[in-house]
This record gives sequence, structure tokens and C-alpha cells, in this order.
Amino acid sequence: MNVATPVTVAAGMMTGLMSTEPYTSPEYFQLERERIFRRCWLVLCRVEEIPSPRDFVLKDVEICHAQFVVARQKDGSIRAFHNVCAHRGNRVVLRRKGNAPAFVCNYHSWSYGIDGALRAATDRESFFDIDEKKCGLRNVATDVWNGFVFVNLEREPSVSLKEFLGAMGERMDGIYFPFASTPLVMEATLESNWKTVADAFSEGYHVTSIHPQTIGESVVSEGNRWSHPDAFRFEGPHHSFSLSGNLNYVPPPRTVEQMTTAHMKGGDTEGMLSTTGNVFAASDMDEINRFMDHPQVNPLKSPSYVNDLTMVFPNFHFDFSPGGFWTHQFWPISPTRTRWESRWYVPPARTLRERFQQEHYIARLAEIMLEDIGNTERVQLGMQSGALDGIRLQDNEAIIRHQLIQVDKWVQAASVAEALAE
Amino acid sequence: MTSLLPQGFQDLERFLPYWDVPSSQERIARRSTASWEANKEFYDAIVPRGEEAMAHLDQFELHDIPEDSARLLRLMLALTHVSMAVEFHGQVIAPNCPYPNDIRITEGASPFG
Repeated sequence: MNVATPVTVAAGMMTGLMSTEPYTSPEYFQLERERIFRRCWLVLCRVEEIPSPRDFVLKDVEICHAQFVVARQKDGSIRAFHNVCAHRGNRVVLRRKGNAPAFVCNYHSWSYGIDGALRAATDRESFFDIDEKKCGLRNVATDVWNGFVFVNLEREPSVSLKEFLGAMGERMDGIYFPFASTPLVMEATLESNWKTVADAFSEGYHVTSIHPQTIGESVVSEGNRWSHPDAFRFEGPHHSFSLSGNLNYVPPPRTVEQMTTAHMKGGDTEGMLSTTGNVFAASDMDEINRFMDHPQVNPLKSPSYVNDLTMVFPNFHFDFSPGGFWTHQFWPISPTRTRWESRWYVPPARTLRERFQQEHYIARLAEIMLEDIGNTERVQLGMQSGALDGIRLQDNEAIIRHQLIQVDKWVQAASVAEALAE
Repeated sequence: MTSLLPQGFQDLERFLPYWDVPSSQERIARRSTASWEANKEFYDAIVPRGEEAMAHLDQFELHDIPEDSARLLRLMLALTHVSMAVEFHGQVIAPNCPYPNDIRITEGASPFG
């Protein structure tokens, strides 16, 4: 160990092998379903996805066999309900997103308002004793933090969203999320456990090996060859870190790369874009400055700032960088199957040249994601092989260890209060 | 006969059947399934014309571009993907990465995404 007090130790965690069982066991997966995904507040979307009254979007939580309609109400508030007809359980809404005055089930034409309340059951008089007030689409507890819409699958949530987010929520509150209406969305269904996929985005140690051409040189520096993060925070089940990069990075003489990045020069934040941001092809500096002004964006005020990562337990990452933010979400489908969804909030191009520059960013992004994601299925197979006594996590992989400890804490805890206790 | 590409770029028309596709996702697929030689041929033919092409395109608005110039733009957009193979990896697919794979861009940038 080359540091006085390892991050892992300072956070009160043990340093030994970590079991592969949580990554592979069907029994453990059942417990994760009941104890984590049915009890934690889960991010479903951002408020910008449904900007206007009567806008709706469907969101899946496969591990709980659930699908939710998230709908903007006439008064501007947001509600979510199960997409399950009160009659016999059919899916009511079949369009993935849209704007609707009402929802009509295709099976027997029961109709519901945008608030989920039953409007009319057809052939009403042939039913026995139905109480229309109890026949709405079943509500799920919904709340919003920093523009992210959360739901909680407990009938009566044990804790509020504010309590669930705790110190992390307070610290990060009030951040301005730029370009939130224009995400670029990438998705994949992977033959991996959901935590295996999350782990791929939870350390900087892999950067020099996995991303040698795409981002390696701009992140890896002489003084920090293995991309050790800084500013680790462990706040309840959530965690964060910050990553700095190579201040001396000069883009290599690659013709198309230079054509698309030559404009990224200048002072302060723009300088960071050219050195470590790597990715920003079209931008609105007023939006960026409003975002960067928050003390928790680049909290160390590093001149070679690359990004800050925050895990909202159990399955949501949001990341900041000098060019804005992105998110990753890891939705379990089975012990060895995961739906990964990543949203990159990019400024709309204003000119054809910006659009060209942006395509280079998209092309590079697709490469980086393939490099990260392309490895997860091999890791998963290795963990299933029985060859390992456990996985070996180093100090700079501390948030992977923290995630495993928190997952296990929730799986063991009889109550949410116990899971959240110090 | 009207030409498919703007005046001065007609020699690039041979690349349109394969490389002129509407979305980022399809550009990734074209680059990833083309041979190294095909990627390199496209790259070597377009790069020397790149600045000239962008100077031509600069005269149009993003959402109001004649179709012949839009085709030229889409070739330039394809070039950025081909440059990943040629300038970054020196091979068609990033080292040690699976292809085909399930990663998809399900919502792209607008327009031409």
C-alpha cells in the first residue's frame, strides 16, 4: 500500500476477498428483488421526458415484473402508476411515450384518466360489486429530486426520498442539469449480472488498459498512471468520486479528430474541454457555466477535471464532466442478464459544422461504451466458473466494494430503517 | 442528368450506395461490417476533400439543406465513424471487442442521427 490511510480502510470497510455469489446466485437475486428493488427509491426518468400536461412515458422494472406509466398531470405534477388494467391485469398503455387525454385498455375498453383514475368500465351493469374508486391504475409512490423522477414500490414507503438520499441528496441538491431535454440514448441487454455492468463504470483503474486509443491518453497522466480517483465519498448506500486527467494532453495528429476538435480551445472551462473533456462538439457556455458553478461539480476544482461519478443506490449513476452530464442505469432481468441504458445529455447542434463535430463525439462515445460493455460478459463468465475464491478489489476500486457491502446490507436487513442505519 | 452530390464532389458519388445512411447507428454498422480495405479507401478518398466539403456545407442552415449537399454531409458524418477504425485502432473494430454486439443508439442527435 502506498498511501497512509487507504480509502477503503478510512471508510471502515474490510479489505479481503469479496464473494462472487452476489453476481451469480439465483437465490441472492430473489433477495435483491424483495429487499432492494422493492424497497429502495428507484430512478425512472427525468422530468424533461414528459414536459407538458398529459405527456406520458412507459418505464420497465423487469426484476419486479413491473411496468410504470409516468405521467405529467394537468397541474404540472408528476404521477406514476402500474400499467395494469384493474379489470384482469392487461397492459393498458401500449405506446412507449406520447400525449394522451385518457388511456383505454384494448381488451375490454376500460378507460382511465391521465391521473390513473377509472373513467368508465364498459358493460358496467353486468359486474357485481365494483367500487370505481378502487379501480384506478394502481399508484406507486413518486417523488422528484434534482429533476430525476423516483418511484418506490413499497405500498407505504418506509422512508421519504429525502431521507433515502440523505447527505448525498443534500450535498448535490440544486445542481443545474444542462441540455436535459436532448439526450442521446444508448442501450444494450447483456449476459451479465447488473452489478457486473455497474462495476465497469465504477473505477478509473481500467482506463489505460481498456481505452488506450479512445480516452486513455487524455485521462492517464505521468503522475497518475492508473487513474486513481479522488474525493471519495460514502454516504449511506450511495457513493461518489472525482477523476482528474492529463493536463499535458495534446491531441495526436489525427486528421479527422483535429477537424472536429480544433475549435475546443480557449480559457478555463473551454480549455478543459480540449484537454480532458474530449467530447464536446457543440456547446453553450452559459449553460455549462451555470452547471459548473455548483460546488459539487468538480468539487476539488481540479484544473484537469475529467468527471465526477455518483451512484444513487442501487442502480443509477449520474456523471458530471466539463461538458455536462450523463447517466447509466443497470436494470436486472435475471441473475445473469441486465438491461443497460445510458443517456448522454448533449447540446443540440446549431450549425452543420457543429453537427459534424458532434458525430465525431458520438462515434468516439460508441467506441468507449463498446470497450467498457464488451468486457462485462467475459467477467461474468469468469465469476460463474467457480475458479475464484472471490474477487480482489484494490483501494481505488473502493466503490465496487462499497456497493457489494451495501447490497448485502440491504439483502440482510429486515427493515429499511435497519438497511439505512449507520 | 442532375448529380447526386454538389458541383465539384461528383467523384465521390461511388461511395453513396454504401456509406450514405440516415443515422449514427447505421453508420456504426456500415463501418463495422466493411472490410479494413473498404474503410481505408473511403477514408483516403474523403479526408483530402474534408475541409473543402465543410466549407461548402457552411453556407447552409442545419435544418434547410438541399438534398445533394445533405448527401455530402452524410458522407462526412460517416467519415467520423470510419476515422475510429483508421485513426484510433488501426483495425475495423476496437481491440478485444465483440462484433456484432447488442449496443444500440436508440435516440440519436438531431437531425441526421
